[in-house]
Amino acid sequence: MRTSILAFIMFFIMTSASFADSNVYITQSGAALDLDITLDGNANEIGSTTDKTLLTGANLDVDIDLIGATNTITGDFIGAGESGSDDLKINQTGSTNTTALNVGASAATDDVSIIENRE
Amino acid sequence: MKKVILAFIMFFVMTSASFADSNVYITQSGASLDLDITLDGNGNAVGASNDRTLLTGANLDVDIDLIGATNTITGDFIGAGESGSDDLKISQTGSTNTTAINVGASAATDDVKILETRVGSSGATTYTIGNAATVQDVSVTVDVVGDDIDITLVENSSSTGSDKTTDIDIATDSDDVDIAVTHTGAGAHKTKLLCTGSCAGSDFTMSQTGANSTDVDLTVTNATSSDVDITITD
Repeated sequence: MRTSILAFIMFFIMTSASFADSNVYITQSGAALDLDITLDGNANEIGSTTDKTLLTGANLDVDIDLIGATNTITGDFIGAGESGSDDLKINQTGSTNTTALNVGASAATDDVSIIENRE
Repeated sequence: MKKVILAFIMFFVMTSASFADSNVYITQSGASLDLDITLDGNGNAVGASNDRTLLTGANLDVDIDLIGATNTITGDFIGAGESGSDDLKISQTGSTNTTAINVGASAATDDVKILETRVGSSGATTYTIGNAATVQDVSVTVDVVGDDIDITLVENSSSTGSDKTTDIDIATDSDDVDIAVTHTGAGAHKTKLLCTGSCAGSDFTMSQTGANSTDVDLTVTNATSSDVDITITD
């Protein structure tokens, strides 16, 4: 009986967790973009299926803030950075989070500053 | 003499322009209505004074076609949509046109598909979906070609487990596109935004809140000096 109750509770916990999945895909070109993304929750994704984050341009100001567990950031960053400033800022708060970025994979990229904070 | 002739001609030109203002008011209830409205001219209005477009019923097939400048569409759409078809189709051709539609503001609304096609500059589109009533499965697609594009969509229906889809396609050279999409409440929120041409100097703001799955798919070209804000909270 206890096993059945536990299984019942676990089912609802797992269902709740799967509902939290959110996906953000961005394909962008152009200079001086100011992009802010905030995702609050678990198992969220920026990019992928497969790899649909492509940020292209000079002097980009990208700020990605993920709060929660098992979140992922995947994608490509291409362009000329702005002197003296961070072009891509990533902040991940939570456990089992993943960041996988390619910088300059397919085009010229220069003077890029990336900062990631993870807690 | 020339001035008198010119004044005479100008009088008729201005009179003709003022005659172009037409108003269409519709208050309708009942299922399976097939309604087609075509207005050709400037300064025309479907609805308003104040907000006299009320389309209520299941399986409606409404087609509104406005050709000209400074035309407006205002009103409310309520009902159960027909599966697999567009329930409300809006076509605006001309500059400085406006669309402002409430969907499901005062009664249950389900499975509604809206398609707006706009060709022209300096237009503004506003959709407000859901209110206190149960509203679910409302899909809005806006295709715009032109400059200086403003689109505001608020999806705040309270139902759970349904798809709430916003699909916006823009082709512009305007360097000034302002898009604000807000989804709240439970349900599966989806926003797809495609801006091609020159989307520079633009503002794209997407906010989605709810316990269910959420997707945002943004593709923007030539977004120089644009501002994109995406906020998703469970």
